Amino acid sequence: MWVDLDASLLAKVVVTVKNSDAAGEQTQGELEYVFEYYDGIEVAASSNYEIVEQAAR
Amino acid sequence: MDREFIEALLAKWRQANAIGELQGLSLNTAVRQTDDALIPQDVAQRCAVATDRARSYRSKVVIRDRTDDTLKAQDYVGLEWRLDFQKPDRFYVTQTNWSADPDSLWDEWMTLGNENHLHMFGWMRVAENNWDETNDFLRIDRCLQVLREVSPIASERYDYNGDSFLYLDYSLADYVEGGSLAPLSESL
Repeated sequence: MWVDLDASLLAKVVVTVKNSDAAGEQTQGELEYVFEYYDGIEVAASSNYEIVEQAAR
Repeated sequence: MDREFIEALLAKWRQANAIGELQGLSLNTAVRQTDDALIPQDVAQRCAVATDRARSYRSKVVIRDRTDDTLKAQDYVGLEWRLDFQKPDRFYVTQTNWSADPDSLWDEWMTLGNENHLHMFGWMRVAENNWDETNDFLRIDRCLQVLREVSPIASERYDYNGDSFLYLDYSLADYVEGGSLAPLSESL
């Protein structure tokens, strides 16, 4: 996990799955998250939320 | 184009660019620093508290399958999601399945509380709810659970593109096999 020390926010997470056999340890795959935070302003999807909410009324 | 539209475009571009920069962050690309006396568990706890306070975030989530050579051209990424999340329950998600045939390559949906909307030639409300599990999987909460509950086995401070990061290494085998973090491993 990668913590942004200036903001104390979680920036990136990589979960690695490895397989061990006679040939040694091999990486099978990864699950990777990258995060950005938008406190104080709206995320990019806000306009989409509004369009959908209006259409649903 | 009016000023508001241009500013919105620029803001979107900056957001996309920041995600791209962080994607490149790794032990190979960052520069290790040795001048710190940080206590990793304290940093992890502070991070969990601060991150939990965030009201909205964007994320890019990928699953790589390094055993599938047909995925080599896209860095072994088989599944990819983009999430825009606003607390408490607003999800905007795009999903790309690089392993699938072209007809099922792309999905786009929105969950607003109990309502679900699918994008297919425009937005339409749908009765079924097929996305709760995926929405939950994409949220940051499970990662924060690791920060709160698990002790890192190693940590190092790194500098990357002018920013300072603490790298925390965890061994999750005991936690993911049948434990509360099982969905992390079941996703792979």
